Amino acid sequence: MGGEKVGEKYEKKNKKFYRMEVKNMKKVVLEVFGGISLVLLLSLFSLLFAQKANAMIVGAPYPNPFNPGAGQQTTISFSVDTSQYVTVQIVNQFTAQSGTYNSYTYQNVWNSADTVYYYNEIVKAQVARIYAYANATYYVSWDGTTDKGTSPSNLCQRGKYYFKIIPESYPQYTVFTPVNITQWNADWLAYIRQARTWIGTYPYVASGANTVSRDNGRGTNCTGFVSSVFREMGYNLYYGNFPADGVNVLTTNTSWGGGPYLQYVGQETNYTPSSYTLTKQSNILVWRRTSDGVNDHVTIATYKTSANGWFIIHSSAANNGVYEEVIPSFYYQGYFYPPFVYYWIAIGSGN
Amino acid sequence: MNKKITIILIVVVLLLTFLFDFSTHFTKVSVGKAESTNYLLLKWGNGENEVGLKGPYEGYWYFGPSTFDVDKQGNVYIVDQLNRRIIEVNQNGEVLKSVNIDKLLFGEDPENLLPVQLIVTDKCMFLKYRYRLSVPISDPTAYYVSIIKDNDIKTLNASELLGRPTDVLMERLANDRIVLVPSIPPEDEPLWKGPKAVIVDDQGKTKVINEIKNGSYDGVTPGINLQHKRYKDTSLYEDTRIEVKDPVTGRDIFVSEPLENGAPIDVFHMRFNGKKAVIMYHTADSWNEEAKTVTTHIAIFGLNPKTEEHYVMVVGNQERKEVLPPPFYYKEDYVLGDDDYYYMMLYTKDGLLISKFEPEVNSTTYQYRFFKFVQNSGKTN
Repeated sequence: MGGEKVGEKYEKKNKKFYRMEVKNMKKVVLEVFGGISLVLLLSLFSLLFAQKANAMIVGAPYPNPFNPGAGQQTTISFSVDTSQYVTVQIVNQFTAQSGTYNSYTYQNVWNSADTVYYYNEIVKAQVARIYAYANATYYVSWDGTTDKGTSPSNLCQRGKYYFKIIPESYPQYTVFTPVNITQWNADWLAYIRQARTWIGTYPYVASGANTVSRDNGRGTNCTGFVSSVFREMGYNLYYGNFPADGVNVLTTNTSWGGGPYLQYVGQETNYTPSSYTLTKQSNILVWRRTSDGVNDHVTIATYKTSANGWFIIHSSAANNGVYEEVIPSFYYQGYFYPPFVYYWIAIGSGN
Repeated sequence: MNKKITIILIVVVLLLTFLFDFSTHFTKVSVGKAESTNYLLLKWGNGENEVGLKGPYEGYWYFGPSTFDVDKQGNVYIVDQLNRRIIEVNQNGEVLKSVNIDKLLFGEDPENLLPVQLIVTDKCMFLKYRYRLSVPISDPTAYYVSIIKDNDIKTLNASELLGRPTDVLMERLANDRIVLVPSIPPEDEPLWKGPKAVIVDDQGKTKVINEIKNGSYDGVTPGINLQHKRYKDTSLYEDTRIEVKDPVTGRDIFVSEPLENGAPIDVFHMRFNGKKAVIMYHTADSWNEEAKTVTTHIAIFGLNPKTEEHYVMVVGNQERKEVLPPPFYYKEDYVLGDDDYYYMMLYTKDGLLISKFEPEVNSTTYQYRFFKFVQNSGKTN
């Protein structure tokens, strides 16, 4: 600020005071007026921006990451500028940032390229729906459960998720904020439980179609299902080369989004009992056709009974979707070639 | 005189003990090759004596009959869903009865119905099935069981009855009943709150079973138990035996010798009808990499009289050429019929083939404890 301020130090009853003397009053008034105008202008701008950026003030989820398998919940806080209903959802990491499709291309079992499109994938449609008064703070907790589950716990698996906070009167000001679930079960069971959350998804999508979705009406094929389960677990696994000799059927792409990935550590190609022995990290079965040796189908094995043998989860044309069922004895007898059994280990620290 | 009576009493007791021991430990073992006899061949088509088949789908697999059963007279019942019926056929291929199942079909497309298992009794048929997931019903992932008496069909939601297990096993019980048993993943068993089983009679009446005594669901029909040790940290079994207990006393009424002399085996199929038990398994050398063959072992145990039949089936490229692959949901292709014979169903290029396992015995061994008598049939394989 301009203006010359001249102070004179004097003492009154042993107390120190400053007396200000203004020499150029007009200049001072102008500068004060200019300053006030500037402040008002800035306030106006900030108000305009605030309406978009701060329609809701969201407190970060806490704890983050959290472990629902150990009974933890994570809590988020938010407020709105205008009183209205607010819905809180959980969406997955692939679709949170935009409403447009994400896509990736992979080589399918028929050795042709398939493009996969992900679109809005809601993990839990309604964590809470609250009538929120303006400028009040609201707290919402999520226990890690998903709407898609069929297992007893219905818990989401390890991975990155987003709180999606939707002001219903102004949905254009929806806000996302990330929250991570730590891997609550390090063994294969976690993958199986995640795979089971897909049961009932339909239809089976034939090769060449380009959706991989949990949403009924869109569905997925066998390859899209298996790779999606791994992706939901936070691992980069997708279909790469799929040659007839069965080598490198599933590959990892460490550059694809970073984070943890699975390392291929081996396979068995025989049908001896050892093919069906492991229940940890080896339960991807790839089926070959006997007529031409082509890899035809891929499934995730889940558990075994004496009465009926192994159960599998897969997306198949006969079921027209994802289902868990036993492997027919026809296949045990070798009318289908023995399946390849794949071993994977999870490595990398991830996000 | 007293001495005589004492001696007679001792002799009688010894004799009774011997008879009891003999009845317990005498075994007749028949060893043969599983060149099962072709019992019945029905051509593909929609004629009266034909069964429906569609395909290939995705250039490979076929959709057709997925389950069957055999009654006490040896007549075969086939769920021919593409022709919207269940047919009863005798060994000559003559259709004795045809039951319309339009009531079970959802919509016009018979492929919406996925029959899984059929059990035929004197009074009715029990059909377990589900629907394709895209069929717009309120519970598309459930298994259903229908009690079929000619045109009278009653339907139960078996998954709901059992508390929504992963799968529903259906077994034959005495007195024209079935039992539905939940299949639960091992990790969920400690948490399982549903019933242990549900018995269904021919009227569709259900009885929930929360406790299984001596392996029996109804206290009348004996149950089977597979005794084994787990081989290392795997799903293989070693020292595997079949064990059947008396439903009332709990006493062992049948215990087999260890399968494959106790070596590790991979059991993938087991059925029991109260009189005969069948188990299918692989051994460590079942897969021959060089010959591309898979050897499957089938052991059939009879309780009374005590019998054992052991078969091996070898499937190689020649056998593969003869068959058409069914869909993955195709389940009950091996059936222990009500006539106590074991039957197999295959899609062949010529039609639907039902084969029967009859002891084509190469040798029969009569064994009582350490005493063994082997009788060769003179046949060579």
